Amino acid sequence: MNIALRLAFSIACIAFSIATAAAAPRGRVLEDAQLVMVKVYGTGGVAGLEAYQTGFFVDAAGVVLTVDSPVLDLDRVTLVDAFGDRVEARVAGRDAVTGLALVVPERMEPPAVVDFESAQRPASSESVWVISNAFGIAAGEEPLTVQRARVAVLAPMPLPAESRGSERRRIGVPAPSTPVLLFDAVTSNPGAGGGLAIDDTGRPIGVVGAECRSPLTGTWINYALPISAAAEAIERMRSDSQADPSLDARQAAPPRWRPVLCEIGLVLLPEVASPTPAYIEHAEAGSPAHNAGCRPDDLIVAVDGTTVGDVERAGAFIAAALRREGRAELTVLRDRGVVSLFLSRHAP
Amino acid sequence: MSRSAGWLSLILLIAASTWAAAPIEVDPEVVAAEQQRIEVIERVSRSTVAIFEASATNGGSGVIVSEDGLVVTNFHVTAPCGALMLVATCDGRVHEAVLLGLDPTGDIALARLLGEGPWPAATLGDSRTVRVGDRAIVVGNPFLLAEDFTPSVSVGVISGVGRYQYPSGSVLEYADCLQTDAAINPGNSGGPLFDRGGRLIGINGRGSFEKRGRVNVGVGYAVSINQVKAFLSHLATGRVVDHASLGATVATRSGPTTIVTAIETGSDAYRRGLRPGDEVVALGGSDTPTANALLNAVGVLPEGWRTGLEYRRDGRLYETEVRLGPLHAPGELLEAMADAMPAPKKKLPGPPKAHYKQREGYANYAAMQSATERLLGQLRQANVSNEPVAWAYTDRLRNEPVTVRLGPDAAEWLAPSGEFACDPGRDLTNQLAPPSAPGLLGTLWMTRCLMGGEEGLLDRVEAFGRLPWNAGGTPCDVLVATHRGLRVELFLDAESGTLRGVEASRDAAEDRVRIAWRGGPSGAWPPAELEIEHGDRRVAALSSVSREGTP
Repeated sequence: MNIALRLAFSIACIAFSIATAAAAPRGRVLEDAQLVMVKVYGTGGVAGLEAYQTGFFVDAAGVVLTVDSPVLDLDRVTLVDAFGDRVEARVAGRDAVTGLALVVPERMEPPAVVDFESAQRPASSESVWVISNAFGIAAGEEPLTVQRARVAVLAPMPLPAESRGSERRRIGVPAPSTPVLLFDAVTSNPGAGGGLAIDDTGRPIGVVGAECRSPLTGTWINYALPISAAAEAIERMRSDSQADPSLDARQAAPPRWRPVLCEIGLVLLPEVASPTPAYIEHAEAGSPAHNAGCRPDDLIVAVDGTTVGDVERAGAFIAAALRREGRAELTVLRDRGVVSLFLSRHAP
Repeated sequence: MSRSAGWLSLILLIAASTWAAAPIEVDPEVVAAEQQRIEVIERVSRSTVAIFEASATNGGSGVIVSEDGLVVTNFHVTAPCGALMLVATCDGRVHEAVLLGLDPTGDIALARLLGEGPWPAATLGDSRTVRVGDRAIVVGNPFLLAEDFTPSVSVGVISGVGRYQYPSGSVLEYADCLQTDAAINPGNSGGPLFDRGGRLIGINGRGSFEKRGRVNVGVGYAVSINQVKAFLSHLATGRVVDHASLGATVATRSGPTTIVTAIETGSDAYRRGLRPGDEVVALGGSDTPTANALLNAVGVLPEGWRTGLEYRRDGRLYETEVRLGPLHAPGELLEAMADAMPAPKKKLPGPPKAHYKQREGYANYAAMQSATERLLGQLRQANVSNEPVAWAYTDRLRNEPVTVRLGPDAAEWLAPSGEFACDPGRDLTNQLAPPSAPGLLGTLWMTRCLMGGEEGLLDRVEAFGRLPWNAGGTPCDVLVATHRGLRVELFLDAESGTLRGVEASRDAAEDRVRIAWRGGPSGAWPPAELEIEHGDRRVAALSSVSREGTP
């Protein structure tokens, strides 16, 4: 199949996905959003301080955005991704304006990353999903808590009640008068900081901030930092990375599933469009991929029963399955039929 | 001035009438959705009730689940009420209800409304099909607000499914529960959680509050309705019911996989081969990659449930069936409940005697008596006479003739390979003959007593609730009889009431004898076929000779 045909097919795929998105978007949107989320564990667990909070992957190297908090006090945290994979990480940057922090894992291939380019400026009264590990309810591979809220207003952050009469700001809370999104639901619970708010189509809207109270009423403020402000904060932390060069170096790192697939002789289509359909480009003769029956122009539609829409998702899923279990079941479209292929890292 | 005002009002009048004459075009789908929403809220409000103790101080919520007036609520709602409670329906009427059964572990209580039905029962849903993001409707009686008992309605989404909430210093355990952001506040306890279509998917009972005081912060939990459904028949027997346990402790290891760290040697899982270090792959058809997933799969089942178990050792997958034991030691639940139940209030009137009998170890002994009587009535339909019988069979395993004799005071097994007898007047635990199926003859004799209306000869006969005869099968009504140390369970088809099988044991730590019972042309008695197993071993496969037409 030539590139033009493939592009035509990819456009057809997009049209199809939009059509199905209109019919049943919610389940898929929320499942996809869970893949970018991270459970963050650090110091705490005494004196009413939680030892857990939330974060999400912001790039293919596995860098995680979360809120600055006492959980990060020792500069070392443990991250757990949507598959329950656990990795040690260190704090690589803190942003005073937004109260956000960047955390760099030792080695992690994120199942998915937040797409900042699709970010939307939300309108007042817009419905959003807020995903966080409030109260640390989810553990291991368990999905995080999902709440429904509406954007009440975009308003300047008040000086938190805790800091009245003192110069010291509450750690992790945006600077006073920073514009924040206020929600109509109780989204700001213990451990929810670093959670992600998305719109109905899955585009990122905001980052749940650290807990703080209103100076007027003494009640907890349910707010999120707009995603654009979070993106700027990430840029600030990256450009300030003389202290931590790893942030810059990692930024341009290519998706790391391709080398894993290379090991078994499987090459997927390069990303020619966004999204690129998950076609197999090449399966090296005699390789495990070839022996498993992979053929050029097979379109991968599912990995281990989970549907994959594009090459990025397919590659990440196959690499993750190979890494965890040494095998993966591919469902591919070939000559208008569906074929199941069993990939194994160690097969002859 | 007045004239211009007159003109103005005329113009306004015309404008208004024109406006009224031209109806706003609304998409029919919107109208239909709105109509459905109104209908659902009306319907779910009717089946939701407010529950108070007789002095009307403490209270909570509940939901009617059957037209004959069964009400499900939380154990912690009925605990202060004792045996009699006041139940208010949304039409403003107050009824009396009597406690039937208690599940302190699952935080569920079952009560029955006293009075004329039919009652507006909720439609039971399937909590397994609930997905994160689905609409969720909480109905109930928060803060005991409504003086006319119109329930409060709050709407949100399902925030999580398959949640496991550890026991927090008590026997209470929420397994495989639903999490919602619809407001659940004090007083909502025991009330229903509905899906968008008004189907009952859970019983609200718990929330995460922590440092915020006891008000909703968008994190509430509901016991899944599938758990409640598995327990309903058990609660209806008036017992204090227990949850199931695999008898093993497990830990989540990387992968993730669930690894057995320790196992009780008296558990059925141990007898079926499960050992420390094994990986538990699935239970009852649910994958168990983590310890929480296994606790979820086991925790929603009643004690005694038979289920499929898959485990892996050295790369090899083993599939077996286990009967799950009780989660608590004998007496442990009653002890835990003693703290939760206040001393009986002498001044308040008790429930009517026909509906309630107090007996230690039971929530309501009258409920046990009527549930037991119902099952005995079904067994009596077989019209078994008390005359001694001699059944001629062919054992297909050994290919030999077998005669089974059952009389008022003897049971015998006569075959060329061996002849055995059992005297039911003596201790049945010492008469193990035939050795390949210990207790078999005592079991057959007790079954004969139960079917012949002679249950009075046995030490104790009680209904238990529904359990599946085979793993994954439709649950059967179970009648438990104990006599001289032998415990026999009769499994009766829940629809037809016919006998499906009998299981017997002397001791929970031993393998049971299982007799699959297939009735003949004239019903369950005499049986045309008996398949007898002990543990993993087939003992005999008896086919009636007369039916086969051979001498």
